[in-house]
Amino acid sequence: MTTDVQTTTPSSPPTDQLDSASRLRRSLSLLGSLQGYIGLVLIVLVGIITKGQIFWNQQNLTQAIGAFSSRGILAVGETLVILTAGIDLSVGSILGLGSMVSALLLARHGLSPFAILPISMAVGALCGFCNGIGTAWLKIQSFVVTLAMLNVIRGIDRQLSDNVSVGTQIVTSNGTLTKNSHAFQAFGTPGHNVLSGVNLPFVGKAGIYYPVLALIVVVIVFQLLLSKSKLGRHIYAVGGNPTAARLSGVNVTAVTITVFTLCGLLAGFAGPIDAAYNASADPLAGTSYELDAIAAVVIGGASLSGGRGSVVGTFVGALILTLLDNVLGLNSISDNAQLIIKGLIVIAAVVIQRPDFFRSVVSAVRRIPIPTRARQSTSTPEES
Amino acid sequence: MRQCRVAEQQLIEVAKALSLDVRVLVMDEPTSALADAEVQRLFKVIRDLTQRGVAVVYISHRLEELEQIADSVTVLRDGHYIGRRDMSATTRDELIGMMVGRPLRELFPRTADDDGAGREERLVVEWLDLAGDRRAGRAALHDVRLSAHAGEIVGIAGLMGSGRSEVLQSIYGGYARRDVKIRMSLNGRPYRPRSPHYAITRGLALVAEDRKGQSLVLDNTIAFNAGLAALPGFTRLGFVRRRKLRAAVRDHAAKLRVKAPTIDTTVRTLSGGNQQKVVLAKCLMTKPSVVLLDEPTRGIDVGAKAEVHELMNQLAAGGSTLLVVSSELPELLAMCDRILVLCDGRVTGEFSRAEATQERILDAAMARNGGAR
Amino acid sequence: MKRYRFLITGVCVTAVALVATACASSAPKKKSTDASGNKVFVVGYSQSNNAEPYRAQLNIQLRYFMKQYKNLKLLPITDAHQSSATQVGQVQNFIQQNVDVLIVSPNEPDPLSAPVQAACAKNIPVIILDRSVNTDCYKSFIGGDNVAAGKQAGELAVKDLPDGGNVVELQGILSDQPQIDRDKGFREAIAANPKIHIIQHREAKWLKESATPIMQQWLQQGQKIDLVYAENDPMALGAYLAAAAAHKEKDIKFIGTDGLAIPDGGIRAVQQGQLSGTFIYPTCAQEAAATAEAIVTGKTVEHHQTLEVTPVTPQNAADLYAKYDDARFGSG
Repeated sequence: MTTDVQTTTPSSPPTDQLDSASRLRRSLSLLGSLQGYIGLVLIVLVGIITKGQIFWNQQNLTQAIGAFSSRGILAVGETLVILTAGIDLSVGSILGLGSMVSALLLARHGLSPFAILPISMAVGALCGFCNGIGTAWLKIQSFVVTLAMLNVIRGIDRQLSDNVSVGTQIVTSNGTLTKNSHAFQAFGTPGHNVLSGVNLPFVGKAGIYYPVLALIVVVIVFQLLLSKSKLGRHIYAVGGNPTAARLSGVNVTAVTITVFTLCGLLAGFAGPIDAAYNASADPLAGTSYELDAIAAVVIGGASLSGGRGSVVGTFVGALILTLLDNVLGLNSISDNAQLIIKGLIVIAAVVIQRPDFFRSVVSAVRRIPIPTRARQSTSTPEES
Repeated sequence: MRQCRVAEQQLIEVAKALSLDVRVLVMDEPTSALADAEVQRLFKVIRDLTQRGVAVVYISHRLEELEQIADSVTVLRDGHYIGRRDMSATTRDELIGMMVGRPLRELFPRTADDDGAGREERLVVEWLDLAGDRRAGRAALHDVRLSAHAGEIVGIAGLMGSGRSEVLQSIYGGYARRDVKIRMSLNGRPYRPRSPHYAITRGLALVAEDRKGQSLVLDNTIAFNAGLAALPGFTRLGFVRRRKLRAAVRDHAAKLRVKAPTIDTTVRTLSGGNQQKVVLAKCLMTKPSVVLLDEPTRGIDVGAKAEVHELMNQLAAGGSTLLVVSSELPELLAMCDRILVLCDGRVTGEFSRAEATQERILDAAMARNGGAR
Repeated sequence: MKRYRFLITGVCVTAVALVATACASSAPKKKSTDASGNKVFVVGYSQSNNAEPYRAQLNIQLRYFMKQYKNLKLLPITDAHQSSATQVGQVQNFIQQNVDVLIVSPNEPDPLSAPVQAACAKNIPVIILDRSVNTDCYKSFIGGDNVAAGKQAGELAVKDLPDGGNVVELQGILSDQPQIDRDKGFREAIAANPKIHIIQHREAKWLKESATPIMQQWLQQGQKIDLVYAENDPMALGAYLAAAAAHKEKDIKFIGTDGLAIPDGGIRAVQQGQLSGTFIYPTCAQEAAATAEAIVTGKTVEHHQTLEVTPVTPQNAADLYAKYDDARFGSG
């Protein structure tokens, strides 16, 4: 009935036998881009060379990462959205709202931090849900929806606070902090750690600075979500080719709404951190934070057209941004020079992330075209 | 332009090239999405051009076209020059031999003994109406009927824009429910298409017309793409069982002879034929009982074509039902047990394997009122 | 009847729309009179940016003081959201409405000069609050003196550091005029003691959250810091947080500027001992209302009124807070 089709060249069935070099490359590409790590190492080296122990000590690094922590958490949420080829411009406003809600709940209603955090997350999730509905259901472009929500949420924030900042260090009549106020500082007021007294690796009994801990936990949880769960694959599919995703059985609407909700949830999660870091919530808190978040995502190797990127890559991007700021500050570089340098670094980071970057650099240097992978045919050309 | 179907886009590309004052015209697969009537019109234009002194390089793997239009033919394979022949001095078999090293009869391996006569009815569409959508380039369907048995390959023929892809998509649930009025049954029980996800759970699979635009996430790996539709079967508590999934993907890729270094190769780097095999692997991993194929061998080399046809045979032999839309009549005539013809969204003809000829199908495809049978 | 259904509906809708538009234009085109028949003068105020707490205070106080004058009616204060183009449109709007007095806090001098001149040309008296324009036709300019604010801060620094010392300066947005003035005044004042050095200065953009990491980096660098001068209170308090984290807050003096009477503001911080002093930059609201009243009653007003900066010390903090507390002025 049927005969096996033969080919003159042996067809190699796809194998999983990788040599160690390509296995390393493959695992690195899962965890962000190689170029991102190189950039991070470079900045750390510059810091160590120029400032030595002043830069490379636990306190400085903790403070530097802690200062960027809320923006880093925003960047993780933004990664999810950007992976689906959307964008969320309202994360800064949602953070501000979460920050203000946390401060108001503490100052005016005396709630404990354990009650404040879930409420702030719920508020953020609700804002994100609105973004998702606007994008997926009303089919408005996410840029437009989230730009509008940026203003709406900021307006609500300012209305709630009557345009004045609200402090979180509430003192009682005899000059000490209230119990809840004191506990609230654990969210990230400088100098306050959590889990102090517990003997932990690396830090001993000094405890951990919560913003750093929160950022790392968020990164781990969402990296696992993206790489190991079904939702994660759906997110990559929707961003890579929404039609193919839909025809493969992915519910694109549900995935879109979910990523925006998660993004808002994370912004709400970061709200108390921002309020505690400043020991107050400002009605304008979080303004322009979305730009930092998007910068971290892009430096981390994600593509704004969706389908490419990872949470760990974003984390590396966030580290690059904050350590760069730290190294420049410790070296007392002038403000204007800092702006220029940071801008150039962002451009450089994006350019070297391009897949064919190394190849085009090497070929330009060598002036020989690098051969792409080609199989050798065993047959000889015939003459006519 | 986006609203035009692939075939219309191809014609516009050709028109664009012809609008320039050319001395040398290179045409790369200009007819892969055109049906026969349009191809003849194109050939007339090419003959006019050559008479005016224009040199035409015509790249194609459709040998029947080359026989009509080419003066000489050069064969390339895997980036190597194989040989050059005068068209009049060579045979189709020799050309295929140079292209692939296998004879013609193995390109279309299906014979009259293979059809699923006598097996149970698997898919019955009693009536199907589809609202057209000008902006999306979707043709309307009126009162389409079809049925298919287990182990049967049913072909759907017609000119472009006649609604062939729309039939498959309607059955698959790719359109909004309010646009599709349908009564159909699957395995004897009534079936209402809801969504692609629902279709997959009920044993339907679709290989869409435009593999790059509709079926593949090009920047991702073979493993990702092949496993995408079958994820629910490999997921536990929301987490994907990666090792099991990759083993299954490796299995299917080996069976389909996908030529790639590993299953982590980016799909964008694969040839058209291998890309199509990845799409097929994705469908097969959902263990479908009905496979809907829309132009399954468009734009792929002869070797891969033969392998796809062989696969279709195997699926049918295993009891699956196949619906195949194709613009290549030789393919339909050779591979299908029955052929349905559409014109302007209506069924204008239905032929068994014995009855079907190229002329009858073309007549039905171009008939405006009623059908020829 | 059916055919005319749409026509009738269309006519009704148009009529309703016209009536609604007519009713919506709330501003009276002519001078109106109040209940007892006395003339009421309409005042329009164009604010540059309601979001700044200082300006939010200004608005609250202005409304309060305007209410004290029975013959003055203040229209809703417009907010230009820091956009000069928006503000130009809003000022032109007031001119169209023919207000009796126009008050403007310009976002920037150049774009707003033309509309101010247009108002003068129509014989509308103009009061400029706090920031300048490039024309002289206004009736009165009322503003605080940022150079004086910086100078008094510098004098406080000299007092706090009798034997000299290291000072770090946290600056607002470098191109803002208040920043330039306060910086200038501060440096002039500390020149009195050559042993006081500004060892570091950086732009913290008026933001508390920018000041904290900058102060943390300065502390990391290890140089001894004796005093922090910040051109506004949030930056000073951000630096205080950073110092407190390093347990160095007792060794450093903090000087801010703004002195807002809110629970999270500078006056309270002086009361609680976080700041060694701050300076209330006047909102000019009371003077603005008084000047408007003087204009409409035909009195002459000073062309240029400079208001003083009030220093806040631990001794007078409590009284000043009570004096300027928002609650006193109502929530606007």
